Amino acid sequence: MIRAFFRSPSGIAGSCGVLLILLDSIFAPIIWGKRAKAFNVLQGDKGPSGKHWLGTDRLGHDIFYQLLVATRLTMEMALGATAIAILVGIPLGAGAALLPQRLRMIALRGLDTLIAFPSLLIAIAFAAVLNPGKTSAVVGVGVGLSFSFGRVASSLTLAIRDREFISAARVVGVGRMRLLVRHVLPNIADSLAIATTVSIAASVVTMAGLSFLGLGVQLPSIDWGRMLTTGVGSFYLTPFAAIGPGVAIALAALAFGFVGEALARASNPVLWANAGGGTSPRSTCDADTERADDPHESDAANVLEVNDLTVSFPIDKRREPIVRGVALDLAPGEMIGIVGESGSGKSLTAMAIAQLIPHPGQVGGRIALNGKDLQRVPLKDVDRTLGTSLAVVFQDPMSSLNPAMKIRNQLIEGARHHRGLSKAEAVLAARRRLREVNLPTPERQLERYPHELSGGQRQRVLIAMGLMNEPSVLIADEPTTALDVTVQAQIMDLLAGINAEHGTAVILISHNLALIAQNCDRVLVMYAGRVVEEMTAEQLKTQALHPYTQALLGAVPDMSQPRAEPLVSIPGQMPDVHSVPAGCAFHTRCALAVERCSIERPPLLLQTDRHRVACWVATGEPSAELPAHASVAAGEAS
Amino acid sequence: MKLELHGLSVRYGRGRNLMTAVDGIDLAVPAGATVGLVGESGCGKSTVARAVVGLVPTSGGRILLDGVDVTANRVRNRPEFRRRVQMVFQDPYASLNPRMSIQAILKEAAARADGSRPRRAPAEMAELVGLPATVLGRYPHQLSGGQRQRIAIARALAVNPGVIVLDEVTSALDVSVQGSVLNLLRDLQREMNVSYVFISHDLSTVRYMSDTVSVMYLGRIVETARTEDLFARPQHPYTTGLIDSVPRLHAPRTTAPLAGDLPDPRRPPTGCRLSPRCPVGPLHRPDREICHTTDPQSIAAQKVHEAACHFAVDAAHAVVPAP
Repeated sequence: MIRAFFRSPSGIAGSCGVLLILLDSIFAPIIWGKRAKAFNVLQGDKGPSGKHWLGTDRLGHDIFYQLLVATRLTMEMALGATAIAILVGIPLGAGAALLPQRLRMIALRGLDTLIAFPSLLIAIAFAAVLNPGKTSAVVGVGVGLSFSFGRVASSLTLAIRDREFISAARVVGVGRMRLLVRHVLPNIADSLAIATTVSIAASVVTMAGLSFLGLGVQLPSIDWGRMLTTGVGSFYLTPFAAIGPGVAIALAALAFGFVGEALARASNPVLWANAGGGTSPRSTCDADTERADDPHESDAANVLEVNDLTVSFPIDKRREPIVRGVALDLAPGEMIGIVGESGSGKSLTAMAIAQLIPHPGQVGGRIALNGKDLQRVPLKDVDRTLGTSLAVVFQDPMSSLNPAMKIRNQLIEGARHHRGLSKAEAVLAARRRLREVNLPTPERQLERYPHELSGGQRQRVLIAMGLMNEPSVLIADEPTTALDVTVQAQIMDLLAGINAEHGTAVILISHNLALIAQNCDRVLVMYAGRVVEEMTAEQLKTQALHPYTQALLGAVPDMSQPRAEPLVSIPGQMPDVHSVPAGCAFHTRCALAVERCSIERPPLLLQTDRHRVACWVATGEPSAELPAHASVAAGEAS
Repeated sequence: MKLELHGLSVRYGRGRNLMTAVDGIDLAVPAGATVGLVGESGCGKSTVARAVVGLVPTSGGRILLDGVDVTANRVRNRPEFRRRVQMVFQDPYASLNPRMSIQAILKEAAARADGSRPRRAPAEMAELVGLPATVLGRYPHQLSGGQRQRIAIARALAVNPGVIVLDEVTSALDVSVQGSVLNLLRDLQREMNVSYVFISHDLSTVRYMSDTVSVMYLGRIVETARTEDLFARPQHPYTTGLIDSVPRLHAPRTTAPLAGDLPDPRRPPTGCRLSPRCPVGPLHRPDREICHTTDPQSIAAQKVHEAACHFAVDAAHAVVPAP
C-alpha cells in the first residue's frame, strides 16, 4: 500500500509539498524568526527588491520571511481544527448511520440542522464565549467543520451499511465497534481522505476570515490569514503583500489535495493490486473465417447472414478482439439459440448485428440483413433499414425503457419515425401490438409509466415495441433471465407464438441450455469469442460433441439429474480477453486436451448433417473416446 | 444441529405499507439434513433466511435451535448464536469486504469460533473448500466468482456452525462453475454433519440438493414433502405450475401453466392466495367459489404430504402440452 502511494505522481508531488510545509513550520521560526520580526518603519510599504523578495508591509517587516515563519501557526491551527472535525465528525456521522432505524432518522435530521450553520458563525459564537484568539478559532472552526464532516461520513456509511459484506460480517459475529473500524471505515476511507484535505484547506480559509473580523489570530502573532487581511488593505501599493499569502494558501491546499488523492488510490486495492494469476501465451488474433469447410455461399433466402464477424475494444492501449470471427445464418421463421457463459461474446455478437456496439468498439466482417450488406447501405439509411427489419429485446426491461415517458409515447416513437405513420395510426398499431403480447386492457397500459408495470409486463411491452415495425428478425438477449420461471414460461410462449404466426426469425441468447433446446431449431455454442459447436436442438440433446458443450450439459442440475451423482465440474474459468490461450481456447480446462490443442486452433468443421464442431479430439479420429461426463471434480483452483 | 421454525412471521412497514413478508411458516431442519425452500422472487424466502440468522427482527412465531428458543433478537445477536447459525449470500462479489485480504477475512471469522475447539488456520480453511493457500494473500477482486463463493463458504464454516442458510448461492455464478460449488457443499455436509437451509428460485438445483422441499408463495408455505414425492407427485397446483415451468432438456415445451404475475404482497388475495392465477381454481372452474372465500392454509397440517389446497388432487392433472 505504501509502495502504491509513492508510485503515483500525485503521491510524490503531494508528499514533497507537505514535507516542505512541515519542515518550514518546524524550522522557519528557529532560523528566520528574528528576521521576520525585525522592522524598519522607514522601509514600510516597499515593493519587491533584492533585499526584500516580496517587499515589506507598513511597518517595514519583510513579507517573505514573515510568510515562512507564519507557516507554523497556520498549519497548527488548520491541522488542529481538522483533527477536531475528524475526531468529532466521523464517530458522530458513521455512528449515527449504524443506529437502528428510528434513532437513525432522528440523528441524521439533527445533523442536517447543524450543517445549516456556517462554520464561520459557529467560530464567531465560540469566540464570543471563549476569548477571541487562537484557541477559540481552532475549536470553533473544528466544531463547525465536524458537522459537514459527519454528514459526509454518514452518507458514505449509509451507502454501504446494507451491503452484503457488512451483513456477512454481522452474521459471523463481528461487533459494532470492529464493524465500524474494520469494515465500514476502510471502505469509505478514500472519500474521507479527500474530505480531510478539503477540510484542511477550508479551515485555512475560514481562519483567514476570522482574522479579518478580528476574531482570529491576534497581533503580534501572525498566520497566513492575518497576513492576507493586512495585505489586502494595501493591495494597490504593495500587491505582493496579499498575493504572497494567497499563493501560499493555494499551494498548501493543493499539496494536501494531492496527498488525499494518492491516499485514496493507495487505500483501494482494486485500483493497484494486479489481477492474480499468470498470463498465458497470447493467441494470434487471426480473424480468418470460422467455417473453414464451406466458404459461405450467399443464400438470398436467408433473412440474416453474418460472416467473419469480429468485435474489438481498445484495452490497455491495444485493440483486443472479443468476438473473433463468428458466422451464422438465419432462415425466415427460424429460431436459433446462442449459448455461452458471461464473457463468451454472445451478447456482443447480438449487439454487433444490431449495430449497437458503443464508440471505442470496432466491428469487422459482413452482416447482411434481408440480402442488404449493412456496410454498403448508405449511412443515412442504416437506421431505417435496422429500424424496420430488426428488433432487440434486452435482459433488463426496466433499464431499456425510459422511466419518465408513458408507454404510449415509447411505443409509437419508432413507428412514426421510420414508417411515417400519423399519431392516431401509430396509437392504433400500438394497441394492436399490446394485445398481441397478451397485455390485458391495452388502452390503460398505454397511459402508464414503466415503474407501474411488473417485470413480466415490462418485458411484454419491450417485445411489443420490437414488433411495432413488423421486423423480420428479433434478437432476444437473455429475455427471461431477470424473470421468474412461471413468467419465463409465459414470455417463451409469446416468443414462440410470434415466431409461428408472423414468421419472425428469432435469435435467442441465453446461458440456459434447456431453454434453448426446448425453443430453438438450431444452437450455436460460444466460448471465448468463437463458435465452438453448431448443431440442431435435437443434436444438442443427444449428440453434442465438443467437450465444452458436454461439460455445460452436465454442470447444471437438470430436472432429470440423478440426485446421488455428483455434477460435472469444469476446472478453471473462462479466460479474459487479455489471456486467451493459444490453440484451442478451451484446452486449459479440457480433460481431453492433447498437445495439438495448445498449438493449433481447431477450425469449425462440418461433421454430419448441419453439425459443426471446432475440436481436434472430438472429431480427429472416429474412435476418439468421449466419456459422457468428461472432466473430474478438480475444483477451479487455478 | 436441528433448526425449527414455528409460525414464523416477519412484517415490514406500517399502515398502508404494512407488508407481511413471511406469514406464519413452519419449517423443520433435522441435524445434518438439507431442507430446500423454493419460490418466486417476492415470496419471502430471502426474508426467512435473514430472519433466521438475525439480520431482520421477527414479528411472531418461534425459532428453536436443538429445542432451545432463540427467537428474541437479543439472543440471536449473541456470539454463541452467531457461532451456531451461519449464512452464505447470493452475490460473492458483494459479500466479501473488498478492502480485506482473503487471509484477513478468514482469520476474522475463525477468531469468533468456539474456544473449546482448536481454531482452523486460514490455509486449512482454504484447502477445505478446494483452494490453494496462495489465494490467502489476494484480495476479493483478484478471484473469480466461483473462488469468491468458496471463500464465503469457508468463512461461514470457520466458526464451526451447526446450521448454514444458503441463500441463492449459485445464481450469481457462471454455469460452468455452479456444479463444482454444489458438489463442494454436498461434500462438506457429509464431512461436517452441518444442516443446510437451501434457498433458491431454481427448482432443478433445489431438487438436486434437498432432502425435503417446502414451496413458498406470497409469504406462506403451500406445500412440503420429501424431495422425490414433491417432484414425482406434486399436490398443490402452484407446485405443479412451478415444476412445469422449468425448461427441460429432454422434454418438449409445455405452455405456461400459471397465468399472470405475483400479486402485490401488501394486499394478498382473499381466500387462497393463488386463486387469481390457479389453473384448477375458480378462474377455470366457476363452481369452486370456496377458493375465494376460504383460506386453505389450515388444511396442510392435516396431511402427510402437506399441501394447502382445497382441490389438491386435481393439481397433478393440470398440465397442457404445447401445440
